[in-house]
Amino acid sequence: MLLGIALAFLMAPLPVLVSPRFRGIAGGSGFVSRGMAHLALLPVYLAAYGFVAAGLRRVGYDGAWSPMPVGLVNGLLLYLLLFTVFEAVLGKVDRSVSFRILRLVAAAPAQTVALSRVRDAFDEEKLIRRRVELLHAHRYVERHNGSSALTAKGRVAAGVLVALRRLFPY
Amino acid sequence: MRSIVLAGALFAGLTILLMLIPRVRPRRTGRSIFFPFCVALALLPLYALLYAAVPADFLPVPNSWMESRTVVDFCNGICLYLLLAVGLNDLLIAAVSQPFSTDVLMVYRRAGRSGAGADDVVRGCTRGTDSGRHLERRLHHLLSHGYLRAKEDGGLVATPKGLRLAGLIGLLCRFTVTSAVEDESRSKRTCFSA
Repeated sequence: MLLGIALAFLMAPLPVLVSPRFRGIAGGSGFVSRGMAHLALLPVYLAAYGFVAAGLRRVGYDGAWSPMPVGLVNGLLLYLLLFTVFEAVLGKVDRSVSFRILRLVAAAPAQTVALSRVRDAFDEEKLIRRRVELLHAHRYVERHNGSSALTAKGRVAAGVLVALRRLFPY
Repeated sequence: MRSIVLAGALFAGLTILLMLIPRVRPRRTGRSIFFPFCVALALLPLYALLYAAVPADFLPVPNSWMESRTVVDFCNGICLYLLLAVGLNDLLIAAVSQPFSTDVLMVYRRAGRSGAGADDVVRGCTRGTDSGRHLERRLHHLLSHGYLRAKEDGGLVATPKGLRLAGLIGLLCRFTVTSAVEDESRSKRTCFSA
């Protein structure tokens, strides 16, 4: 089991490093890029597990690192779940307005900016219009005769969000 | 094997508990976005109790499937449970904490098949006010958590805590894939320049 755990923790950061390469295929979405990179490197994880397990068997090792069927499944589960940790952090870095405000202030001379400058830079209308463009780009919304409506993908996403809000009314 | 089953069972219990808490103890003000994860941490002693109470061979599986080292198995269960909790917390932040995209999607959902124009979406998201509700909420959060400090002349200053976080975000920016649409609007500036 330890072999699967160790390999999962060792290999899970790799997809994050290569995820910018998936940007074109993922339509510019950070979440999709990281998810695709994580899945694309799954065979590498399996190959590494097989390689190390075969090596351990060959030398007759029977310690904590010895391979077992559940160890592989458990390692795979950990590898996939580690995606949630990276996404929890990098997803915020990608999208969070709060983080962008903080970076703007930190990058300013004497780390000070006027409130009006922040309001100009993060004009709510501009931010909302940018999100509308993003939803169009990722095909959650499509244009029809001057107005826009949800696509089937958008309706599913909105339905899931409504269900989640009903189940977890925080 | 015992740890995997117990971690799964405890996560199922956590999910049900998180559904019940706001119904049993509703609060007028919003809870922290990390509330679900805090509840998950509070349940960790229960995992230890269950692990001690449930025998190692409680499942009818071959011996080769069982981890013989208790410490490895126990820690594995904690890892699985916490990773599942992080995933749930992240999902709830996306669904419940009202980020822009979620609000915009909800406006389109209310509009139905007839659709909505960009101006309708802006009105729907700002509730017809021009006070910058989202921006004020974020500024309040940054100020109340000590990342920024308000000056008497109306300016905002980054605190040492804020500067540390900004540095960390700058470092993590190297591994992110910012959206193509957002990049265009940022005119190829650095990750977070506005």
